[in-house]
Amino acid sequence: MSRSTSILSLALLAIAAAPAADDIATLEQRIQVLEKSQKDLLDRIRSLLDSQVVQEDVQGVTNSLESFKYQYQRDRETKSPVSVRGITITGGLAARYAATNRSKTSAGADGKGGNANGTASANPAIVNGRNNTFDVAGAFVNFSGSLYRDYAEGRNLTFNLRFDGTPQTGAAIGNSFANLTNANVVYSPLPTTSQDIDRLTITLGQQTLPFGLEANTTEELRPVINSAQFVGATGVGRREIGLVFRGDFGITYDYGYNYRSSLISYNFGLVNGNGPNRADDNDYKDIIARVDVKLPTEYNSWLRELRLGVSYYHGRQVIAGATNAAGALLPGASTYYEGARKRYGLDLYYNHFPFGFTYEFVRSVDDVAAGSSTTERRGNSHTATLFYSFGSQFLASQRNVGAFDDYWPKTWQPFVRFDRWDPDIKISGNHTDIYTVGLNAFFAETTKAQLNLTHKREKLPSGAARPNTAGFITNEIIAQLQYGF
Amino acid sequence: MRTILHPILSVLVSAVAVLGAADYPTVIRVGYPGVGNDGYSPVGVSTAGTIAGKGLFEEEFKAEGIKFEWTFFKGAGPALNESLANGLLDFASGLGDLPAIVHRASGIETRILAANARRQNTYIVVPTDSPAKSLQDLKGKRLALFKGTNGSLAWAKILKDENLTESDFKVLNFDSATARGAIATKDIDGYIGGSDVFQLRNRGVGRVVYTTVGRTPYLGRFTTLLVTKDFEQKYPQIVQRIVNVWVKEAAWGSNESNRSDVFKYWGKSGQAWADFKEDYGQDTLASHQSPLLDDHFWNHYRKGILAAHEFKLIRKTFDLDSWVEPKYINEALRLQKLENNWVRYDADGNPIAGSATAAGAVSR
Repeated sequence: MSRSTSILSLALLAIAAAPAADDIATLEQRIQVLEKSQKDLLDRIRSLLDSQVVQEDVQGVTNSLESFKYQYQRDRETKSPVSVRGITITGGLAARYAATNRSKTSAGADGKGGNANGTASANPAIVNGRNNTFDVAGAFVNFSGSLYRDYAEGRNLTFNLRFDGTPQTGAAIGNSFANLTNANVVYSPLPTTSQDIDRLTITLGQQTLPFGLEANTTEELRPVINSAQFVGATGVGRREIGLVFRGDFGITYDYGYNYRSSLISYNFGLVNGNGPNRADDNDYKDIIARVDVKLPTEYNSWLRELRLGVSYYHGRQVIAGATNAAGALLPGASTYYEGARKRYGLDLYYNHFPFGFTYEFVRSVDDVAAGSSTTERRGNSHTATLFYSFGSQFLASQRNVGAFDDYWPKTWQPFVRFDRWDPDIKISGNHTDIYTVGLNAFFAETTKAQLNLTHKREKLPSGAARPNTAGFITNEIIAQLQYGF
Repeated sequence: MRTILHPILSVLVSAVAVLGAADYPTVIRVGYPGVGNDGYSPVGVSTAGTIAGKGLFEEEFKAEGIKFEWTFFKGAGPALNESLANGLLDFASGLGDLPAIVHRASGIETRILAANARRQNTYIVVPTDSPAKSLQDLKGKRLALFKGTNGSLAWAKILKDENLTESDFKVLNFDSATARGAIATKDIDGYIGGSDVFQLRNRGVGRVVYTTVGRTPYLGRFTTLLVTKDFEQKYPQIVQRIVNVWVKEAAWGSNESNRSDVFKYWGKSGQAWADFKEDYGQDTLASHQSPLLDDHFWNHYRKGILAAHEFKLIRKTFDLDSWVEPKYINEALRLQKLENNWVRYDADGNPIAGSATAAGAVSR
């Protein structure tokens, strides 16, 4: 083969192996697609890298956390109240205005004057022609917390400490004292970790008496501004020092509604019977007992929260002998007697949202000084209250909802009440009736506005110091703002 | 003449419009049995949660000016029941099977309209250093359960499935947030919960020793959309539109292309995206989000009523047929041409072949 032939052959082969123009275009297109894919991939990688946590980010979070820990520790040491044990601090205050149709004058304290606010506690020593006043009914602060927490069974030990500040009668310049009202420790000998089991607590110290309904209802929960007359008159509303067992059994727990109902609730205790913040004045320990029965119903029963209760208080009291006008003992009278102090209570409670009804009967039996001896005096009280709620704050489910703002299920609660107190049933025409119509407006979690209109008829027999068989009539309006924290 | 008639006719037309408007309530009250993981935020998961979060009911009734009052209950199903029993709600959105059954068994008339979340899993978590490796190992121990919720019924079924009884344990009634805290502080030996247990494991304070994943569908938990009988009878047209919205949103939440978005949306509750991802595993969204009232649904509730009675969670049984009202969802499916969007399941929870053309298989 000649050299020229070889060159020609090679040239022909090269032409045959070379791609056609169409193939080149296709290849170029593929290259462009590949280049675009490569660019897209690079973009995605960059994007992913941008969104990934890198070392600097971790360091930043760590620094922020350390700064927060330091700030928290410093604030805790310098700006936060601390205690050895966990404490819940609550309190409340009631500011009010009252006006009555019968102006009060000290000189006319024979019945010509009405007590605006229905109480004498905040009255100055001298009052002249007053028929309306502002006042602060009272304030309290309460500390409660755990002394020992049993994580396994809930047999906990807790405490309560409460001070009530009340205006003082007759002070030249209004003073008030912070009185110790609650001071007790509470132990739960039975487990409390489940709601469907019996409960029992033992309370030692100064506490309210488990007597009836009204005496156990704190001002924050009571619909009426002023307590029923018998609470103060019979003394069942005052704190006593002693040991009280409170428990229940026959539990029905409706888990479909988280509703707990006990067939029997019981209370039994021994107390001094001499009131708060002082030792006993005799050697007898007074007995307090209360039992209430509630039908074991499911939540969706019309009998839900229908309860019948009986209360009994048996005590002895020291009675000063009767004296004459000059303060001298009557002939034959002893300096002191020891007499009976008994209280009997019967109550009916029906609270079926949105309405409720309560009725309470109380009888007091007291030995009182009379002549050279003592005699028995019996008093009776009837209190009935009917209320209705427009709004849902009394439903636990409605108070505990997810909400970002300072949510509260605003509620209006109108009510009516009848309250009779007869201090001595042997004397006819000797009782005081108070009719109250009112409205409570619950507009924030711990704040409510109250308006009470009362019509009071005070009948006094002909033998009384200021007799009025027809009855003194006092109409009063009380507006109160009660707020707590 | 026309000048006289025109204003009269206008007034008549307006009057008719006003009278017509009287057929609508001014406010519709909807309850949801839960809050965010923080125990506070008004957010939820499942179809019920996304409808609330997106304001879809409000959007639907914007023209009529109907307001919606949503209430998110910290106390879950039992708290919702309390409000429902006291006439404070019209709809219960996402109410669990047991609280709904308890509520109906107590004699209060409601109507189930559609399924919400279904086949939900149950997990039992223990403190990390617990020696327990199974449910059997927890005999005699303190377990936390949010009693009264659908977890209670699931727990009762689990006990039966494992040949155990409640007396084998000390079961304490804790809400979910408290129970998670108690696991972290080791105050309890175990917590019976849902996918919220994963956060305990992820924080290194908990370990899962039991799951219903992979077990019989009988153990799954259901939730529903239900309405009070009074509302349903008074406003059937409103109920239909509510269910229409429900079905449309359930379709969105069942679409696998939305899987990540769905989990992100539920993540607003405070629960991690990864928790939902793990809980759903290979399950399709539709297998949990289907609103259908299929055979599995009926059988679940029929057995649920009997089980609740057997486990003494209710005092008497009742007729399921009078409780479930399928006409609204059937109409909604027809209107939106979604009759074949979800797989139907037989009574035992097995998919019925050929019952769907799109989403809905049990596994992906």
